[in-house]
Amino acid sequence: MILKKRKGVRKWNKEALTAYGMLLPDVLGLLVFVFIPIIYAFYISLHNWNGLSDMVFTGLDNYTRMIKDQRFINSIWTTIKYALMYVPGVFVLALLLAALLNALHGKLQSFFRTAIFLPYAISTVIAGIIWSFMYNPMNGFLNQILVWAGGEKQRFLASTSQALPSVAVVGIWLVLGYNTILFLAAIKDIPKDYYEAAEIDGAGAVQRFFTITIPLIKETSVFVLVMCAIGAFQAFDLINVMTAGGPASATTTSVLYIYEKAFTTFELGYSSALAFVLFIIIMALTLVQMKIMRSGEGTD
Amino acid sequence: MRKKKRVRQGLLIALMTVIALIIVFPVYVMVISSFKETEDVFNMELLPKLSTLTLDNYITVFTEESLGVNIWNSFFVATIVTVVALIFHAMSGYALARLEFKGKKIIFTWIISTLMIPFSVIMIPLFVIVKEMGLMNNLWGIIIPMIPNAYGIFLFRQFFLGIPRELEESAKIDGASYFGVFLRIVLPLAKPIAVTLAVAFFLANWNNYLWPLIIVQDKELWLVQIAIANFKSSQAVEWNLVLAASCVASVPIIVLFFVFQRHITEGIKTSGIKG
Repeated sequence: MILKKRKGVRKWNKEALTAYGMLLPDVLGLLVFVFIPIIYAFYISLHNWNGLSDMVFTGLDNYTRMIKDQRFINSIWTTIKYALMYVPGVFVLALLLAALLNALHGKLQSFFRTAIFLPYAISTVIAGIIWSFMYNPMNGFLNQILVWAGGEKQRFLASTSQALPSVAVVGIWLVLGYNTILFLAAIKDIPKDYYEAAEIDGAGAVQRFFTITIPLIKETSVFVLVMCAIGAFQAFDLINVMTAGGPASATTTSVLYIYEKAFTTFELGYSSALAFVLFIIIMALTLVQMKIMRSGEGTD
Repeated sequence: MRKKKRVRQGLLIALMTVIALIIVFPVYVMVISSFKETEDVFNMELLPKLSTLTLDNYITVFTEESLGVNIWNSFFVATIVTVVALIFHAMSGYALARLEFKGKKIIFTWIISTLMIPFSVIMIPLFVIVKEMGLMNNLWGIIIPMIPNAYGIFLFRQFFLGIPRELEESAKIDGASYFGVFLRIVLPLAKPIAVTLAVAFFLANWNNYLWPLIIVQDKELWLVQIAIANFKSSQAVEWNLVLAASCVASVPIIVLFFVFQRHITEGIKTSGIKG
């Protein structure tokens, strides 16, 4: 009895030691490259620092400075405007495409799904390049198509009013396939008999879509909405490649402004404070998602 | 009724064809324009004669620009991150799924909580840390911070939880150590999840732009995405060259895309469900 117990203790220790050993590389990595940085970000944000000279503690000065920083406020507005184009754009189009794909079957469905998914294989940088080429204000392909269709040439990325929507179109194009696949998977999970019953009751395709499909894919919908919103608030690559924030700051979103403050003017303290505000915004979005997901669990 | 259904199906196929053409159009533009002469590049001829096309752009980007080196850098970074991350995450995932130890719940919760921290928020401290480590302007400075990834750990854990325990039990009776069981019995079974994650990690690191942009300055150390972006922002953009370089950089990803499409879509679906 005693012997057995002792053996049990030794066994447990060996097991625990193996576990700690196996976890060590990742835990260390997450600690140094994710966890410490978020705390360090807040610490830097309380200082005035250019990255080379000594840090000077300034308390919450960086945070109060933001309120009067018109460029920062504009960058937040630009980000919100971008999100308001990008998020509903992705949501509506992906859901529509998923519903259309679901009405097709077998080879036809997988063929069109592959076509819609193809932009996923194009990097953000390269997507920005292809579209900048097509958006060329002089003789880009889109202007040639517009002229051919009897319209007028547009300035697209060179225009302060058109640049942001033009970039949003590319952002939507890039992630449309990804989100269509999410919606398609969710729609396929809905039991077929729901639709059959509704069809017998005389509900048309559109009516079935709104009364059965939409309510039953709520969880995926919330996921897509929140992920897209977080994506919009973090947008950088596409905008930096296509417009670099211009013309006249018309496309300078939060992350572009943070990047500029950190790596062009080397105001690391101030840019860290900006980044921390962005963190709070993204955190709030994540919490909203978790709350809605939780409340959905009860009804399923 | 049946005829009406067939008409409707025909209309649906026609509509989907138009949508698919619009979506694929930019990719086609990239490919076709990359074979055009400088003076033809804005000539919107979608089916140009073969005789007007040229391979010169491809020769130029490899000889006059350092595209070959940039592609190698990207390949190096993406491969190392992927391989090391898979090894680390498989180990962590197994420990969290199967082994008993003190603090397991706390460690797991802590790992998952790091998922809530977006990269753009920590890029400044990360830059400072890499600088302190003396890894600025060094490919390892890009690689090392990209390895830890809670999402990979989580997916491995979920996968290992789904494997029947009996396989491991019998090996343990035969006297194998915990790590031995993991290495010889469990790891070979993890191939599906490993492939899904490998494709996802390779893609993400091949396409990464912001982080390498912060770390490397030297042209010889540029990753391919930075090289192409700089190509475009140069004074006089030679679109045919930029697009040829873009095509070259897209080839590995498009190949991965077609070979592993099923794995990629599976990965997307699990991210949606578990999200």
